[in-house]
Amino acid sequence: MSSPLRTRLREALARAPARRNIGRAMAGLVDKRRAAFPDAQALEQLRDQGQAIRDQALANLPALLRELEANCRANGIEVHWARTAAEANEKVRELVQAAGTTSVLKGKSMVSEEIGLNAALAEAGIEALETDLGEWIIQLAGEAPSHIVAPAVHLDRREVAARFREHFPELEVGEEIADLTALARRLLRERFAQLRVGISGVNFLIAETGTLCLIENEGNGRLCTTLPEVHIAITGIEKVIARLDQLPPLLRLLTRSATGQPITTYVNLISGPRGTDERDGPRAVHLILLDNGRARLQADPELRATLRCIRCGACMNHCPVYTRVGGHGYGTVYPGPLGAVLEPRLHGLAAPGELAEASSLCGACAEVCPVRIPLPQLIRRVRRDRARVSPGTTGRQARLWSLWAAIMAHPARARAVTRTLALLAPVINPALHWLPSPWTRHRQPPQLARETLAKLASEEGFGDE
Amino acid sequence: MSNQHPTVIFFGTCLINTLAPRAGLAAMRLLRRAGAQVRFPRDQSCCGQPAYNAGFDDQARRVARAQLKALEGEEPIIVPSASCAGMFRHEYPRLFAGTPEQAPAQHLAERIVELCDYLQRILGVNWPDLGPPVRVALHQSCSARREMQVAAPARALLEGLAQVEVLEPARASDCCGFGGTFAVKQPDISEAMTADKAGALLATDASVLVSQDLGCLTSLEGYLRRQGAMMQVQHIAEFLWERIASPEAEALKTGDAR
Amino acid sequence: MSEAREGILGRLLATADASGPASPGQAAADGRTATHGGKANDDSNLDEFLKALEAVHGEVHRVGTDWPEVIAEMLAAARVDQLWYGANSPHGAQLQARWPSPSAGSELAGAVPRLKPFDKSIERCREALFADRSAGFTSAQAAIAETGTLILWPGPAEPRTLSLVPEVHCVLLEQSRIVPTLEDWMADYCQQADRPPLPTNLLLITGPSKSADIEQTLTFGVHGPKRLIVFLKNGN
Repeated sequence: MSSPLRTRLREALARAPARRNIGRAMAGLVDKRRAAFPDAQALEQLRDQGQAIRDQALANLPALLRELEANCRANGIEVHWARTAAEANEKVRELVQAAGTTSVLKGKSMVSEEIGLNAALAEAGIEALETDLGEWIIQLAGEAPSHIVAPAVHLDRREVAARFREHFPELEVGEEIADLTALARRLLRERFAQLRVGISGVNFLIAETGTLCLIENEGNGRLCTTLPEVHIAITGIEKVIARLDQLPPLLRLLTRSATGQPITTYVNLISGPRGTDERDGPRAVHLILLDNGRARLQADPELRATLRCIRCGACMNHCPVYTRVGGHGYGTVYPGPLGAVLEPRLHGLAAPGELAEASSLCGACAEVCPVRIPLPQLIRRVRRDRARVSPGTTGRQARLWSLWAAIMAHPARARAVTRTLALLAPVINPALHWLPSPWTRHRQPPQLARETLAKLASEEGFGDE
Repeated sequence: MSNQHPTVIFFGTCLINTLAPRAGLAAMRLLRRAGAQVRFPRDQSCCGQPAYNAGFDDQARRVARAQLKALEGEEPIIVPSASCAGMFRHEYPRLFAGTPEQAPAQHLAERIVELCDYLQRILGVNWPDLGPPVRVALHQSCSARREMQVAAPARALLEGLAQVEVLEPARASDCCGFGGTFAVKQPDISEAMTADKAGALLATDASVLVSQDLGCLTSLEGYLRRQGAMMQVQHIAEFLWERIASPEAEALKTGDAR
Repeated sequence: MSEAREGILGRLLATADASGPASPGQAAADGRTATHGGKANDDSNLDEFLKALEAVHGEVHRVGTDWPEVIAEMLAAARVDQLWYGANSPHGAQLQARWPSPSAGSELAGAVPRLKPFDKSIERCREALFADRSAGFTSAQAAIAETGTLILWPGPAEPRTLSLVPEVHCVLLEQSRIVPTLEDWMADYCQQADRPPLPTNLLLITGPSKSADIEQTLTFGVHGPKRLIVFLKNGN
């Protein structure tokens, strides 16, 4: 019997084009990140600094959020709070409807994916138009992002062209990347010039100055936050940092870890709506601060480290599982090692908790995490939590491990079992070939030795004392 | 090394004990050849990592507690597996944090040394190579590279042998897909990883595959055999012993040593 | 609103009480990095800036006091129709003062773009801004050598849209304003005793708009400007 996760992983492995596209892209990102940090010692110092800045912020989270709120208000940014996805969606809907419109622009935002914002707005009759090229492609295709930084990474140019043709049958669609990009530019600019509400995420919130920092390469993020009359920013409460001068090292870590870029094309620091004598910029800026399980993470001394995350995606790019199945293999908003730790806290241990099994604990993620989140440790933690609470498969596993412990924790029993296995090896070994097991689907079974190490050791005079 | 005849404790690991005891014996012989007095406590069984990684800490602790007792002492504990060494060194203190065994677990953790690290870095062995020319593909586990950082000494041991050409597979730091119970719980993705690793190893055109970790080797050997590949597979201890002690190693193979 | 606020802050405060007011690594949490090595000299700053800007497909022209003419010539060659600029900025005034007249007898005459002052609210010129073959002109407050980044300080005199909507973005930069790293610029700004408040939209711009969303292949001008041209001015 296959679990939903195993089925999804198997299906993802079978999608050859996506697997090829993702594998190639991730290998490229790994190389680019490596080239972006040529000095190993400097990188370690920078990671220490990144971790310290994020830890300091998390240790003072309530005070910083109050400071941020006060400074945003002083800047003319309205601050709203949402405990849950539903509260956040409701607040966005209210603000959009108050602006008197039924179509909004969206810049790329993982938090909006997390809360299912587009679907919630659609229910209220509001169209949310994704404007990041990758997000727009998958929105047209009706798919979910397959990567938190590069959402359409599973598609190649021909597949993108096919989706465009399907969606715009009246248009000529070339297959060159430049043609596809130009098409997106032309169609989306019409909408940028018209729509009156823009929705975005936030990369960092700066408490000291009441500032929202957004980074991007395309300019769509700036268009969404500059042209409309109303800008609604939505982000998690953990994104706050104390001071403006803490931003440069975090940007340095974020863009280099994500794509190997020294910096993105645009770093957009928003500290208020259009001033009284200014000619452009939104007339109102709203910041929605979302909890959605984050306070619960904050309360857990071990899992709190997850909130350091700056969403660079390096843990995915380096994960041997993610790089073979992509985000769709996980079936959650946040995939990969980060998703394995985060998703169960957002959505419970049952199905999302199983993500923690999709890891060989190889440690590649922790090795590259710019803020040193100990992901393998936290994945083990999720497994521990699941072992405690979920019956069913884990209950059966608990009995098996208890049996194992009953043998291995008692030297005499362990010796007896080892001796017996060695004795019975001539009988067991051939049988292993016929025993159906997940192992033998792809591998010859291991063969038991006919002698024990203890026996060999004493024969050769390696003493116990 | 100031102490010419250090006494060490050898931890055989459950995998070596049941699947490849001769690799364990070879490791002890290497230690003895390097001048160490080797103790092999009979009450040892398993470091407890399988249950620990699966999230069953209580069961893991029960087994780990037995190792605390079996491995008591002050001597260095030599472990012929970076994975098990990592469990002792880094995870025991976590597993026993806040329990009465916290201090003993910490003490044990500090005594742990991986086999190649001990031979190469601490004892500084330099043995003449008695074997014929051979091309060796070296697979270094994630534990060896990341958790224990003992990839370099293993490589140095092999490179110190005059007739051995050491080859590294492409994308050497990628996980081989074993991951303990991962290989059984997620067979599809595990196979995909193992297939890539096996492909990279075969592409080196080496005749022997060698590693510090028997877990990876068992998985890779199973995969290579199913594919009908001819590459020989050996734990690094057994490989080293055969190179430096040819006649005795022959005896070791036929099983009538002393 | 306040119910959610109190709920979230209450939860966080309960945790803080339980774990104590932790304040890890104040020193390490400082923004100054080991990676930035203090001020380099002007020449090496310039070389590094030019290299970094080139790497992100930015263009550079060295100019003197004749910079408005150089811009006009460049844009005429690029067949740009109109150049938008901040009507109330000192640079805007200079631009206007030295802009070649389309009717003058030069060889470019007919091709010189029209100057369009951004002198009303965006709602009243949005369509015109989006017109094809338009360019925008801004100054840069400073630049970062390490990354080839321009720091823009938009405001009433220089609207933010100038660097975003037109197809070509022209930037005037004083060479002396190049600093080695973003950390340096930030430290200088933050340490000013009477630092001016941040503008409503401080911008760091590094090259023209780009995307690698399809096959990780870089393409330029996806939503923002297709070209970024820096006019580098040495001295006054």
